[in-house]
Amino acid sequence: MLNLLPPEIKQRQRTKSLFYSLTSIYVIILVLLGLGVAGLTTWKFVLQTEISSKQSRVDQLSSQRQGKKEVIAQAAFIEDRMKVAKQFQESRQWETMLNTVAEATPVDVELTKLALTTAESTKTLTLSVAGTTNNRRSIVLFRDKLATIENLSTVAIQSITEGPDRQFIFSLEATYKDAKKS
Amino acid sequence: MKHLTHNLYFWLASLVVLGIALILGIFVYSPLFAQVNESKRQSAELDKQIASQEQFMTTIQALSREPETLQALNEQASLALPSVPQPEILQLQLEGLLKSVELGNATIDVPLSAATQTKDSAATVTRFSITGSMSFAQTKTLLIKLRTLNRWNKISGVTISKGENISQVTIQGEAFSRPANQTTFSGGRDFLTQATKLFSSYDSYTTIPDIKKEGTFGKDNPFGP
Repeated sequence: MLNLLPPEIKQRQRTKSLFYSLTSIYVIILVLLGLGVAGLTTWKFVLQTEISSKQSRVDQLSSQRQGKKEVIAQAAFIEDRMKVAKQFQESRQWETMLNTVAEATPVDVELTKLALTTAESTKTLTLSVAGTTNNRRSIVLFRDKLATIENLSTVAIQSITEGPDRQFIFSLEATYKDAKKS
Repeated sequence: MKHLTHNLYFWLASLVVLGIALILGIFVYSPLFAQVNESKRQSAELDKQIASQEQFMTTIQALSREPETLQALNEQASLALPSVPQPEILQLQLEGLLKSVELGNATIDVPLSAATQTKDSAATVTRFSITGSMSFAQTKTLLIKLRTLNRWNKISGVTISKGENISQVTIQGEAFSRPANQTTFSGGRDFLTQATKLFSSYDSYTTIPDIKKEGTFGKDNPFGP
């Protein structure tokens, strides 16, 4: 169909139509913005309702907790002791230390004294052994055997004296390597 | 389009829309987003709190259902590491231990008023010593039993001297006491199992004196036999 309207009128009509379209778009944008505000406000409201219900659950749990104060105190005490158990318990196997010395003692040596002592300040554990034998070589063998014990260091003969009936009285001393552990 | 840009109403409408969008963006959207985000953060934080408190309360409820076990564990914990030195209880515990290895004649020395602080002052140390005639095997058994005694202790020295028939042995050690530092309970799920496992690994050789359970009291003449 031919449009016989003058070009100015045609142009004005086109401009008008474009203006209406743009206005509609603007209105839609404004409506969407308004809907966005409404949506966000609703979301905020829903979240706040959720928060207040969760807060009351927390309060309810707290009051339940208050009601179990005595049980909690008992459990806290037990837990406190469990945490420090290792700190206040013996970690060394003293009987094993005695066994290793016994196993290292030559058959012709008789011990007269065996002492395992911890130094107060350094916590160093020292082994002191005294004994008798009628074989001087056994004293050296005893020292050398003690030196093979993994945890022992600086094993040294402190004294050898000859007693009556060719009995040799000796003393040995050694330090434990892991002595500072506990 | 060219004619539209010459249209005053177009510019007016555009400016109004832009203005409204800007105002909404700055004064409404921005604070609303901030509030929503803050609410989401609070909600998530509360979720965490609820989850941890519910788990805590589940543990507490489980503990409440076993008051006797909890009481027994509390007593064992208190014996293992008492809040105050209790040297007189340590004497009884050591006496019971010695009787169990047939060393009733051995001497126990626990000074009643000589407790000292540890280096970090976290605990109090009560020194003790056991002296007696015993065989090498008995000495080793005694050392093992001391390690599993229900009063935590550390041995500081062992001296064995050869006697005429049997060796003279002195064992020196330290027992500890410490006030409870912890007032809150973590609510760990396996608490009861772990506590039972730990405290059942110790041996008790005596019962703690209890006036409700033992003793006969009341004398006409307390100076009489």
